[in-house]
Amino acid sequence: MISRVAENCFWLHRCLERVDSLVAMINVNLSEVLDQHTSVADSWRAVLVACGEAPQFAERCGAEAVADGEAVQDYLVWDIDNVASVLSMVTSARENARTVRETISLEMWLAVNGLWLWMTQGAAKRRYRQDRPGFYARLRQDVELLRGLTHGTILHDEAFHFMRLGLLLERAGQTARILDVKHHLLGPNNPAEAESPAETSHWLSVLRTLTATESFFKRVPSLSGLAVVQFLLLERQLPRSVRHCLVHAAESLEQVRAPSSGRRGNASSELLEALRGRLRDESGTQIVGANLHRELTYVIDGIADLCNQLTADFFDPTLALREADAAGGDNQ
Amino acid sequence: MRIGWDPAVVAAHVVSLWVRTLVTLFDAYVPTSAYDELFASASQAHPETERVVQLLSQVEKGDFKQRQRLADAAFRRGGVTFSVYSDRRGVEKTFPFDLIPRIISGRDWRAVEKGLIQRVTALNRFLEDIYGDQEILRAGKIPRELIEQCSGYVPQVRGLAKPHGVAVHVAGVDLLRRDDGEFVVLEDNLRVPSGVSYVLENRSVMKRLFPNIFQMARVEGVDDYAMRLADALRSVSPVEPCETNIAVLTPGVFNSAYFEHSFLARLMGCQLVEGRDLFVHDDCVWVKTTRGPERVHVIYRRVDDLFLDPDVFHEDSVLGVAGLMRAYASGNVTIANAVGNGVADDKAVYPYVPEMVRFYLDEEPSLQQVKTYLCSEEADRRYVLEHLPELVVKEVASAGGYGMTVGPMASKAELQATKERVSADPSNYIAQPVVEFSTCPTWSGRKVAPRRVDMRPYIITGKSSWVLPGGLTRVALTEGSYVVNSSQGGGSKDTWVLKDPS
Repeated sequence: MISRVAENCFWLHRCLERVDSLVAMINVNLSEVLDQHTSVADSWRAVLVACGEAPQFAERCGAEAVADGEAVQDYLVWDIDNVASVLSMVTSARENARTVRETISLEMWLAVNGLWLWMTQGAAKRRYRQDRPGFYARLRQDVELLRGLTHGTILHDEAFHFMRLGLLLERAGQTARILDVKHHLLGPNNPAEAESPAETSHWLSVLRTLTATESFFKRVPSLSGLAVVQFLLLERQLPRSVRHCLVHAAESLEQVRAPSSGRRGNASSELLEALRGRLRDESGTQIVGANLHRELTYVIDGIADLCNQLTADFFDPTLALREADAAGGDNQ
Repeated sequence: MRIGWDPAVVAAHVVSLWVRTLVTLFDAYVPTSAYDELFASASQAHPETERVVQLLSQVEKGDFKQRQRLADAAFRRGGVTFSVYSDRRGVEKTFPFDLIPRIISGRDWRAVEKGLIQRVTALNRFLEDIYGDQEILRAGKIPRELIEQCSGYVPQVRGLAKPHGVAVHVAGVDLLRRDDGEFVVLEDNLRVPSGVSYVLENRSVMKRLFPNIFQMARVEGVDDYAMRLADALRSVSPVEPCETNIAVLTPGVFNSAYFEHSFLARLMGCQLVEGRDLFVHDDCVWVKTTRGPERVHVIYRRVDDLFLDPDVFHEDSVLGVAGLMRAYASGNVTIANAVGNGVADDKAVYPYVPEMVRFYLDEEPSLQQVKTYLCSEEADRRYVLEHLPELVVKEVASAGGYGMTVGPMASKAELQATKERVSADPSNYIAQPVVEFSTCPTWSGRKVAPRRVDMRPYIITGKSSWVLPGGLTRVALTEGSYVVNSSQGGGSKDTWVLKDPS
C-alpha cells in the first residue's frame, strides 16, 4: 500500500488509543483524589508527568493550577493548543481517517466523524459539565466501537495490520506509562514489601483502568504490587499487557513485510525482538521495586525507537526513490 | 395474497391525503414567468411530471421540515463537505441540499442525452485535431490566433497522440432550460469537472428519506457511475484492462473537492494518491508503497494542467510529479482527462463548438447554446459596451461564478467598473444575453417557492460515451438570483429522470 496512507492508518489507531489511555489515567486519578491518600496536587501532577505534559501545563496554566483538578482536566481534554489533549487526538484521528477515507469502511468513517462532531459541536461539552463519568465512558465506548469496526468491517490486509501496529505499540507504551504513575505518585518503595492502604488502593485503580480487574483475580489469589506489575507486563493472555501487545505487534509486522520486499523492515523486527527478549529475561522480581521505573522507562523508550524505525522502514517517501535508483543502476 | 401496490388504492390514498392535510407542500405555489420544471401554471403540473408531483404533494409541511433537518444531519455526519476558498483555514461546509427533486421525463432526457454525446464526440475530435494536424484552423473555421492565445492551449502536448483517441474522459456540461422549455448549453467543463459525488450522495439521502415516493416515482438509477468510470479508464490504459492499475490523483485533503476525490477512489476500489506518492523512473510512473515501487498505468487526475509536472509547467508545484509528461509522451501512462483540454472549454472558444459539430461530424448540433459576444472582436465589443445592463459579462479565464457581472442585477458603479475592465483588456471578456432560465419549486425556509436551477450532466468516454441519467441540479437559493455555484450560496437537488411507463 501507499507509504503515506500506511502512515495515516498507523496514526489513526495510535491517536484513538491515546484518547483511551488518557481518559483511563484521568479516571484512575478521579478515584485516587476521592480516597485522599495523597494530596490533590500530587495526584494530578502524577498524571501530568506520566503523560509527559507537566512542563507544558505549568507554562500554560501556572504551576499552582495543578491543585485544581478542573484546570488539569480542561487542559487534558479540551485544550486544542495541547497537541496531546483528547480534543486534539480526536481531531487528528478524524483527519487521518479523512485522508484514508478510501481505505477504511463507511462504517468506520461515520463512527470517527460522529465522534469528532460530538466533541466539536457542543453536545460533548454539555455532557462534560453535567455528567463527567458519562462523558468519559462515552469516549471510551466510541474508541471501542472503532476498534470493533476496524476488526469487523475492513479487509485484514496491510492497511489493517498498520492500524493494528499503531494500536498495539501505543497500547504497550500506555500500559507502561500507567504502571509508572505509581512511581510519580507514591515514590519508589518496593512493592514486594508490606503495602500501605494508599498503595493497595492505587493498584486496584490501575487494574480497573486497564479493565484488568476480573482477569487479574482469575489468575492471582491476592493483590500485591508485584503481582499487578508482573500481570500487566507479562501476562500473554491479557489484551493490554505489554507482552501481549508486543507478541501481536510482531505478527502484524510480519504481515506487512512482504517476502518480495527483501530487507525492508529488518531493523524494525530486530528492535521488536530485543524488546520482547528483555521482557522474557526480566520476568522475576528484578523488575519491581526501585528497578521498576527504570524498566518501564526502557520499555517506553524502546517503543518510541521502534515507531521511529517503522517510519524509516515503511513510511519514508524517499525510500522508493532510492530503491528505484539502485535498481536502475543495473541498466548501465 | 397480493404483494405490491394496487394503483387504484394508491391513487385514492393520495387523493385522500391531499384533501385531509390542508398544508401540503405545493399549496399556494405560484411559478414565475420563467419555465418551471414541475408546474405549467399555479397548481397545475406539467403532464409528464404530474404523476410524481402528486406523490410529493402527499408530504405534509411539518413532516417535510423534519426530513430536511435529517438530510442536513446525514450530510454532516457523512462528511459530505467542501471548503470555500474565501474561508481561510479550510472550513468545511455541507452543500445545501433541497429535498424537492427536479424531474425530467424520459422523452426530454433522451433528446438531451443524444445532444450531449454528439457534442462531446465533436469536442474529443477537436482536441485530437488541435494538438495534431489542426485541420479546423487550416479550413478557416476558427481563427488561429484565438487558439494560440488561449490560456488553456498547451503547446507542449502538440503532436503527442491521445491514448485511444480520447481526451475528454469525463465531461460535465452545464445546461439551462429556456422559457420555451428547450435545454441549451451554457458551458462545457472538460478539464476536471466536479460535483458527481453530490449526485450520488443526494440520491442516497433521497432514497432513505422518501423510500415510498421514490419507489413509486420509477426513477433511472445512478449507482453505476463509478463502475462505468473505472471501466472507461481501464479501456484507455497502455496495458491490458485487467492488468491496469488506476490511481486518482488529488491535490490533497485541503482541496475543496477532496471529499469527491476520496469518494471516487473508494467506489472504484483504487488508490487515492497525492503527487508526492508518485515518481517517474525509466519513463514509467510508480507509486511508493510499503513494499517498494508499484507501476501506475492510468491517472485520473483532479489536479490542474499547470501543476501536473514541475519539469514542464510550474516548476515550484508540489502537487504534481516531476517527469510525468515524459512518461505520458512515451505512452506509458494515460492521463485522464488529457492535458490541454482547457482550449476546448474556454469561454472564447465556446461560440465555435457548433462549428466543430458540423466540421467533424457533418451533422447539425442538436443542442442549442447561448449567443456569445467576443469582446476581442471590434463589432461585438461595441455592442457589449452599449448593452451592458442587459448582458452577463464573464472573464474568459474564471470559473465557479467568479469574475462575473450580471447586468440586470448590477449597480451603476459595478457596470462602470465592468466597462473599464472590458475596455482595458477586451480579449479577457465575453458577454451573453441574460437567459431567463427555468425555476423549480424549492423550500425557502418557510414555504415552497420558485428558484432558478441549472443542470450538469456527466458524460464518460472510453471506447464509447455514456451519460449519467440526470446529473447535478444546482439551485440558486436566494430569491431572484441567477447564481447557482456552490461557492456563491447555491445548493443542489436530486435529479429524477423518469423511466418510461412500462
